[in-house]
Amino acid sequence: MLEHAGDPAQRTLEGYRRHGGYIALEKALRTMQPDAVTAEVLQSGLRGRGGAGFLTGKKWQFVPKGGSKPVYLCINADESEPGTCKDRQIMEHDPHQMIEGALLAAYAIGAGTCYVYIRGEYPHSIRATEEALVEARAAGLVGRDILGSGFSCEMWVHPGAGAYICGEETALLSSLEGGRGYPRLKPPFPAVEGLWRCPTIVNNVETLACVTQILRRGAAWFAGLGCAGSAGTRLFCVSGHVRRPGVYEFECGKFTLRELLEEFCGGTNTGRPIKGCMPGGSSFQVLSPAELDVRFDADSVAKAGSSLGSGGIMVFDDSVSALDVALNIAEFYSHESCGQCTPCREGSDWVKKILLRMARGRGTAGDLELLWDVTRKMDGTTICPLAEALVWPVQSYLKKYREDFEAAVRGGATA
Amino acid sequence: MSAPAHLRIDGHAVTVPAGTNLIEAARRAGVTVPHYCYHPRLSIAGNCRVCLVEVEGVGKLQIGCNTGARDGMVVHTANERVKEARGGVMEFLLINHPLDCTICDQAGECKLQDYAVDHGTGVARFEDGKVHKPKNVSWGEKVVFDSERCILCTRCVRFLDEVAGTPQVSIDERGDRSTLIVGGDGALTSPYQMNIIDICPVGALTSRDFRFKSRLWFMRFTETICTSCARGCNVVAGSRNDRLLRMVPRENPEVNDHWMCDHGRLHYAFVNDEARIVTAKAAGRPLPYAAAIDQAAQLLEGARAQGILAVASPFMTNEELWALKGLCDALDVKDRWFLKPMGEGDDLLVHPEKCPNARGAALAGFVEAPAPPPTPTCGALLYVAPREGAALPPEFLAQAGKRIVFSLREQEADLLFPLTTFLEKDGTVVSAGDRVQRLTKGITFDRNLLAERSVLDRIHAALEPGFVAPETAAQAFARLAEGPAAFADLTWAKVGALGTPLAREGATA
Repeated sequence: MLEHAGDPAQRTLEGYRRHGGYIALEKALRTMQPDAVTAEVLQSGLRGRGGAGFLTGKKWQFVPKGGSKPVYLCINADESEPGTCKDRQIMEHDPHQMIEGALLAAYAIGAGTCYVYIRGEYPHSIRATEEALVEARAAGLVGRDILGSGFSCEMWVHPGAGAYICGEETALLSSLEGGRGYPRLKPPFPAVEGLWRCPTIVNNVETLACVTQILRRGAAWFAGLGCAGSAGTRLFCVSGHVRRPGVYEFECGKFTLRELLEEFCGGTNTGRPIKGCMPGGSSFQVLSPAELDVRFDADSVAKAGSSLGSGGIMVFDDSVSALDVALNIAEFYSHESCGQCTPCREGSDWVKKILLRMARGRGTAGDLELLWDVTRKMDGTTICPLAEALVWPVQSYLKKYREDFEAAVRGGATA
Repeated sequence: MSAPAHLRIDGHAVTVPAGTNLIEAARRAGVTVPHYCYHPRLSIAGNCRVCLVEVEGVGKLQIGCNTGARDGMVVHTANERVKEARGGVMEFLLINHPLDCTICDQAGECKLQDYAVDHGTGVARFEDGKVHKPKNVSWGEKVVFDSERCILCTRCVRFLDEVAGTPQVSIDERGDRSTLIVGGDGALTSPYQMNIIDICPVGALTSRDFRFKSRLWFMRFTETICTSCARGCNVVAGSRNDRLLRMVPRENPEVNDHWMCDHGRLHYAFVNDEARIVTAKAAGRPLPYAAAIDQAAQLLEGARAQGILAVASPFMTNEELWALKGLCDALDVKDRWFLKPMGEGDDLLVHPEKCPNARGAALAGFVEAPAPPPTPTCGALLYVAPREGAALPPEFLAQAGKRIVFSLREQEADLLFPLTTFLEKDGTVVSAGDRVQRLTKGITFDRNLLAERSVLDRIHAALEPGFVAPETAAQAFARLAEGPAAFADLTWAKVGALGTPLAREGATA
C-alpha cells in the first residue's frame, strides 16, 4: 500500500497512473459484474482495518439486493484512535489508491454516492483528498458514467468536527446527516438502514486501499500475504518509547510482537526495558513484557487477550506508572464519551475521577475494587463500544500492574 | 399484523405479535420492566439502559425497548445478572444527580425515586465531586429546567419533535457535561409544551404554574376530563383543600392519547375564583336556596301563558341538560336554545368548539341560538349562562321579561343561581367524535353550594308534585338511556373512566 507513498508525484493522477493506478477499476467496470468484485474481496480474506476486523466482502453482502432505496458508501477517515495515524499516510501520499478502492466498493454494492468522512483535525488529508477528487472527476473517474461504463458514483469530502465518537460507524452517519454524532441502536445495521435510512456500507481508508490492491493483483496474491486470519499487509503506527517510531507496513504472522518492537523499531529509545505495549490503539488491552512473544497477527493477539485494533502500537518503558497510563486513557474516553447512554456518560468520568484521585495520592484501598466494579458495570451495557474502549484497557492495567495501583493508594502521588 | 410470537418472560408464557418490543411484551405478561427513555408514543432512543434484560442465547444483555419479540424467545427481566446491571445503571444515574428530593417538585412521582427504591443498590459509593450544570433555567413562561436533575433520556426532545412538531430542544455539549438547550430565544413556543413536564421521568422539567404549590401526597387526584373544548381530553385533576391545583393528561388512546394542550391544562382559575357566587340571589340579595327555588317555580308558572325561553349551556352535563329538559317539558317550553362558543382548533387535539357538551345539548333537544337572537317576546327567561366564550347580549337580557339565571359570577337577574364547575359534579358529556365521557367530582368549592341539577330538579318538583328526581348522576344517566336512541344500551358503568362511543344511529356528526 505504501510502496509509492514516498513519491511526491503519487498524489497526482498522473503519478498514480504511472504505477498502475485505476487499471483495476477499468478492468472491473468493463469485465466484472459487481458480485464478482465482492467475491474477489471475500476470497482475499480482507478484514476491515478500522478496528473491528470484520470480513469486508461479507459486510458488503449484507446490503439487500434489488431494494428501491439508494445505496451509500461512506469512507471512515475519522482516524481518531490514540496512537493511530495510518489512514492519513494513504490520504496524504496516495489518495487515489483510496478513491479507486472506494469506486470499486461502490460498484460492488451499487452505491451511487460516496462520502469521505475525514477527521477535522486532518486538514492535509482533507486537502489532498479533495485535490485528488478534482483530478479524478476531471478525468471521468468520479461522477457520471465512469469511464463510459454506465456506472456513476459521486464522491464528496465531509470534514468531521472533532469528536472521537464519529469514528464509530453509526455516529459517523448521524454526523454526516447533520445531527449530533450519536451512535445508533443496532439493529438495524447500516448495511440495511444507514445513511438517510438507506443501505450504507462504511469502510475504513486502509480497507479500501487494500481493495484496490486486491483487484489490481488478485485475491490469491493478497491471501498469500500474511497469514490465516490476517491476509495481506497491514499498516501499523508505532509510537511511545521506541527508537524508531513511525508508520510501518507489515505482513502479519511472520514474527512476534517482541521482534517487531526490538528488531524493526530498535527497542526502547530510553534503553530501559519495555513495561507494556498496546498493540491496537488505546482501546484494547495492554500486553505485559511476558506477553510480547505473541505471534504478531490478529488471531494470535486476540488469543492473548488483546487486539490489533486499528494498528496503533504504543510502547512504554518501566519508568511509567501503569496508573498514569490508565488515567491518560480514562481522561481521553471520558472527554470523548458522547453522553448518549447512561453507563458511559456517567461511568467514564467516574473512572477518571477515581484514577485521578489515586494518582494524586488520595486513593483508598477500596478504590481498586471500586474501579473494577464500576468498569465491569459499564462493560456490555452501552449503545456503542466506546465504554469498552475505556473499560478493557483500564481493567487490563489494573490486572497486570496491580502493584502500581496499590502503591499509589498506599501513599505517593504519581501525577 | 405480524405473526404471533410465543415467549417466556420470567417464566410467564405470553403471545404477542412478532416484533413487539420486550417492555410491552413483558407488560402483557404482567411483568414490569423499568424504563426511563422509552415511551410508547415516541421513537426508541435506547439511551437510559435501565430496561436491560437477558435474552437466552444472546451474549450481551439487550435493552427491552429496542428488542423485538421473536417466537421461542426466553427472556429474563429480573435474574441476578439483570439485577446487577440495572443496579449499576441506577448507580450511574445517581452519582451526579443532586439528590435534592426534599426541595424537588417531582418527589412522589419521580421514577428516579421509584427505581432507586426498587432496583437501586441502596449504597452510595461515589465520593468525588459531582458535575454541576445549569439550574432553574427558564424555558419560557411555562416550563422550568434543572439540568442537574436531568437524566438526558430525551423524551422532551422527541416529544417536541415527533408529536408537537416543534423541535426546539436539543442537547448541547457531550459526555457528562451534556445539557439540554432550547433553540431560538430560549423560550418554548409549542402550545403542547407542558406535556414534556409529564413525560419527564425526573424533576428536570417542572411546571411554572404548579411548582412549589403542594406536595403530591397532600393532594387528592380525580380522574375526569378537560372541559376547555369539545375534545374532552382525559385528565387527572389534582386538588388540595378543595381547590384545583393542576391537571395532567390521563392516557386514553381514543381521545387524547397521552397528551393535552397547555391551554386546557392551565385554564382552571375560574374553578378557584373566590369571587364566584355561592348563594342564590334575588335582585342581587342573597336568598336561601329553598326560597329561591319556590320563587323560581312561581315565576315560571306565572310566565307560562306568555311563553318561556330556556337557554342551556354547553358546559352542562347531559344529566343537567336532561333535568332542564324535564323542567321545560313540565312547563311546555317551546323555545329551547343553547349557546355554543367557537374558536380556533388545530390538527392535534384542540377542537374549535370551546365547550365540552354542545352535542349533549343538541341531543337533549336544544337548538343552537340564532345569532344574533331576535328581540325576545317571552314572559320569562330560564338561562344557564355558559361559563365563558358565549353569552346572551345584555340588550337581549334586558328585554327578556323575568330572568332566572345560573351563572358563575354576579349577573343582573330576577333570580340568580350559582353555577358549579366541572370538578364539582359527577356527570357525562358527549365529546367530539360522539364519545360519552364522565366528569367526576373532585372538590367541594363551598359546602352550601347546590349543584345545578338539584336546583333544576327541585324547581321541577315544585311545579309537578309527582316528579321524583334521580339522586345520583348514575341514576340520572340511566334515565337518559330511556331517551334518544343514542344513549340506548349505555350505562354509567359502561361509560367508565375512558368513555364510550354513542350508538351510531343517534350520532350528531
